[in-house]
Amino acid sequence: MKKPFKICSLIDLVKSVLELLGGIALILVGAIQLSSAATQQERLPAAGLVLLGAVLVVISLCAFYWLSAFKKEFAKGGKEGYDFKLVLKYSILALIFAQMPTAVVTLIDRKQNRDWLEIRNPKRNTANDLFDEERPVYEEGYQSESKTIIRMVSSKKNDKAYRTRGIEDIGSKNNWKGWLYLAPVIILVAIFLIYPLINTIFISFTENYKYASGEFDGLTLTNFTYILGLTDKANGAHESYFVSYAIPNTFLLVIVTVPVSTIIALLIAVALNSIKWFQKILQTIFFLPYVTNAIAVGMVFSVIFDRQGVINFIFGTDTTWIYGANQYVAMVPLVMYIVWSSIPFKILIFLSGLQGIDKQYYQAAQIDAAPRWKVLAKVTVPLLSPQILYILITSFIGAWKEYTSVVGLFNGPGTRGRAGEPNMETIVFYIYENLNQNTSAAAAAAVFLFIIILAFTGLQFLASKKRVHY
Amino acid sequence: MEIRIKDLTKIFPGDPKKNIRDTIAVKDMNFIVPDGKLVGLLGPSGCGKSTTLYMISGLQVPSSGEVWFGDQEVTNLAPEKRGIGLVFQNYALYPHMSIYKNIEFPLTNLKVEVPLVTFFRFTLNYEYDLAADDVPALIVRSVESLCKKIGLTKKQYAVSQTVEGNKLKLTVVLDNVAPSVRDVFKENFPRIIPANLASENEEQTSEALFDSTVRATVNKVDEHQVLRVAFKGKLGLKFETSHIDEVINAFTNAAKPFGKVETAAIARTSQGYELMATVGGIKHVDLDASLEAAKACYAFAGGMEYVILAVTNKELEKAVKDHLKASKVSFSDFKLYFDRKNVKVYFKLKRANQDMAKRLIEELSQKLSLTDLETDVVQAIAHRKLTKEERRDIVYDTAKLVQVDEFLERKPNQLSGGQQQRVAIARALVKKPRVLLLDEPLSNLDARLRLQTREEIRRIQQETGITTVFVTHDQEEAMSISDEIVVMKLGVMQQMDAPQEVYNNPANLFVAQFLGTPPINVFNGRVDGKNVYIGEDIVYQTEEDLGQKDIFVAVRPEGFVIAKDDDKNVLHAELEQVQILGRDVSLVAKNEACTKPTFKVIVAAEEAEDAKPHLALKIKPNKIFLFDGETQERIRVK
Repeated sequence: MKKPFKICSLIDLVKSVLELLGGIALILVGAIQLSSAATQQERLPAAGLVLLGAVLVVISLCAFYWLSAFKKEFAKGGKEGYDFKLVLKYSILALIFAQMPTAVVTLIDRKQNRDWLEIRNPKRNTANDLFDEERPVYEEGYQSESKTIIRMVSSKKNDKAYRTRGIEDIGSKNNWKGWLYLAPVIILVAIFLIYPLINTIFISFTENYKYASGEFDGLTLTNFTYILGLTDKANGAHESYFVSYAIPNTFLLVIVTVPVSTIIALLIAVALNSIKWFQKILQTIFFLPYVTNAIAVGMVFSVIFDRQGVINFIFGTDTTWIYGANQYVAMVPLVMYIVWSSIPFKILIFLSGLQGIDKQYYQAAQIDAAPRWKVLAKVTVPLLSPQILYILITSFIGAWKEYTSVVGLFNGPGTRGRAGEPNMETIVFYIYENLNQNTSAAAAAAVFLFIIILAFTGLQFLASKKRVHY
Repeated sequence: MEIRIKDLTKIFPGDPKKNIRDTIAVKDMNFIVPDGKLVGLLGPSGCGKSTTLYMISGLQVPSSGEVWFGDQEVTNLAPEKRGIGLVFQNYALYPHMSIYKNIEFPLTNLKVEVPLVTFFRFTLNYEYDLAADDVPALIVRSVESLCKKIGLTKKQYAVSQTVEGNKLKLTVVLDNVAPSVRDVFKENFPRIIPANLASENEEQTSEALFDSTVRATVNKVDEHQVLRVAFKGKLGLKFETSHIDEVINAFTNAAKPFGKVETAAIARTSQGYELMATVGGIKHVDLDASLEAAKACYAFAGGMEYVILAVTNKELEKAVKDHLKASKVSFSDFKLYFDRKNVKVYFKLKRANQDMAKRLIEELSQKLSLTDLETDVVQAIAHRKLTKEERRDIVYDTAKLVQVDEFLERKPNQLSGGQQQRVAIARALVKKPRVLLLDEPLSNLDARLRLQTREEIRRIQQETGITTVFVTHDQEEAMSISDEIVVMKLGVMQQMDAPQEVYNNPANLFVAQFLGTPPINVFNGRVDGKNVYIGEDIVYQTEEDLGQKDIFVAVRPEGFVIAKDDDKNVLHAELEQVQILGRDVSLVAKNEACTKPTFKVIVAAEEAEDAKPHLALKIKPNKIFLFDGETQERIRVK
């Protein structure tokens, strides 16, 4: 209960501070422009800037107020039990006010950006000027176009060959404004993507990193050797599950589920695309697994594959699939479940790709008496290759990070749940398991996974250069 | 290959729910494309010309009517079996394949027939004096590639070499090939290396194989054979319907000892009543007894007769099959059936050599005492794919024909529109189609390229001599390259003729208006006896009396001559504008009776100097056409 609120308020706080600063900066810039402006036309956009800055400042001050109120109420609650309604109200108000400036800026930007950002010197910067010096600048009917500006597509400011007189390269001059608009996103990305990434890499090199306090005893490489089972910790702890279970399990899932589900999805999509009746209904049916919940359906699968379950009943077998099963036997329901749940999205993508392929290619192939498999292999698949590449890359990455299906099916890292060996563990599962107690090792495993995925995806892109036809 | 179109009709079904009516795209088309000719289907958009083309190709199925290629009806034949080449409007070249692969693609699906004649193993020994810079290994490799080129698979050839001093001894073994293949090899060998044939040896590896179809009557009937018999008995006119159950029961009882009564019923015919029944499982020995029993079953059954419907003796069938199987000859379509009064047998023997087939048939005919033996023996045929080398040769030849051999490595989007178009033609031509179909082949090209490419199409068509049908909406294009053109309007064929003939002798007003630039000038006119009027001017006098009616008078722009003062039968018009075209001058003139505000007169430049504001125009008799005012059909006059 505590944590999410804290994080929420922190983000809002950071945002409002930034917006306050941004508002003040805008007011300053507007004021400077206003003081140097000579004509009515120049004054207008500058005034707009000042106004916008003022609005930002007011909004962010509001956000500050609600945030502090929220914090006060929240802090009070810690000791005496807080009024939940009040906390919620404050937090929502704070949230709204903290988000508002972004929305305001975006809206104004979309509507007005031409008027108050790009027009500097309309007299010189008209398209007319460029081609005809003698011509009267504003002709009847051309008035509305007079604010047109030509952006030079040149990153080299001083490259003389690109220089043209009479044109102001606004693109380069207004750069800082672009950065200003991007700032909220960049800051968010920095906080939630780049910082965690760098921090993870950092933690993976620290010794005895303490999750709660953030303290550690110097830098080391032993975390990596530890998870790979090469060295033991100082306290004698030995790690063998990562190499014996997490890596092979993950690798097996990657090389089995992705090709199998992609091929099945492709075949289903091609079949769906070639029928006329019930296409929409079947499409809906095939899409159903996508809207189901992974954990819930995982439990259903574990019931189906139970010893007294449907599968054993149909095939007349007496195999232990889930609880207490052998590692590789338990892989069967796991793989089937992952394939089942990953097919619908692929079908959707493939179908949309298939519908974009010109029917004439198929008519041409028909006239050339190409058999069906050949049409599929030589025409459909190459023309669908961009979609196939997309699906392969995303689902390979997804398969490397497989986790929820194991939880859903086995309710733990192994076929005996929490008890027994974690024989169904995947890399991500290992990371979760070790996050609290053994943060450095978890971080090392995360970095290990990151490098594998990066290399794998890079390889795929390399391989795709020849095979993908855009 | 001549293409004949008979009563071809295509109706696209509408949707009654959405209140969309059926669309008649093509109606009762009838025409013949002569062998080796280029025929253009011409018409405005929506006239059904493309639909007609797609029906010829088989990609559209006609609602009714027939399409014939030569003597073969192909109406219900799948497109890939018709032997056609089709060039699509936007070419449909596979974007991911190189030009070479694009052209090669149809060939990869093509199969060549190999008649299974007697095959031999030929051993050819060649001797050759090595020159200083000869490399024996390379010579071997080129001989091997020759083998591949003439369609031999890797198993079928072996080339080995030995060098003795200055002499290279080449041994070529051609295994399992027909003598004709050896001849081709020997003919082409000197092109690679001028070696002398030292010795040649042949040994037979397989016999010629034949497919035989056998149709015969089985006379020998096994005593233990079980039959299914249909009984038929006349009950006469006196029979009363109240006795039906009685008769049927009696028959059932009578037949029961012999077999299982499957059906028994009484039918009314014009000659009274008839008992009809089938009884299964009657043993052959009991056949006559069962008939007697059936006859006796009822007194009225005057003429009871029986018909054997089918022989169901599985034993017999099995015996024949086992006999065929034991000889290891594959057979198919084995059937025992009953034809009126006889049991007949029908089967096909596949890939048997002549002696074997003869012996088998003889054995069987003794076993079953076959008579009326009809055998049909044809050479057995195997199929093989084209080898890579064969395909390459064909691709290069075709690419050269359409002049795209420089671009074979490129992808289609790296070519210009005209080059893509030629690649598309090459892809259609590469499998040597019987018929080439082009769907608006020039519509994606710019004006200059269009001129050039249409001549190209004409050249390719004349070089290959393939019957070609092409679709266009551009009359100039159709007229310039076609041997004949078919003019269509709203799914109905208007006229089919040579281009000049269509221009000179249009069948109706639509054809006259559709062809020619600038378009023909149409006037509202009338005839009164022998005089043809436009407004109040008599412009033409016919030889026969046409009576009195309103007509359309159409005159080609070049059909006018500026009249001299004493000329009769002139058309008066006001000159509006003079357009200089260079060699000719186009006079834009005005006349009340014209269906358009102005009309055009094209005269030679020097003649135009005489043009006055009030024009008097004389009309050349062969450029004036009269059309009925209501039907718009041509009124042919002299």
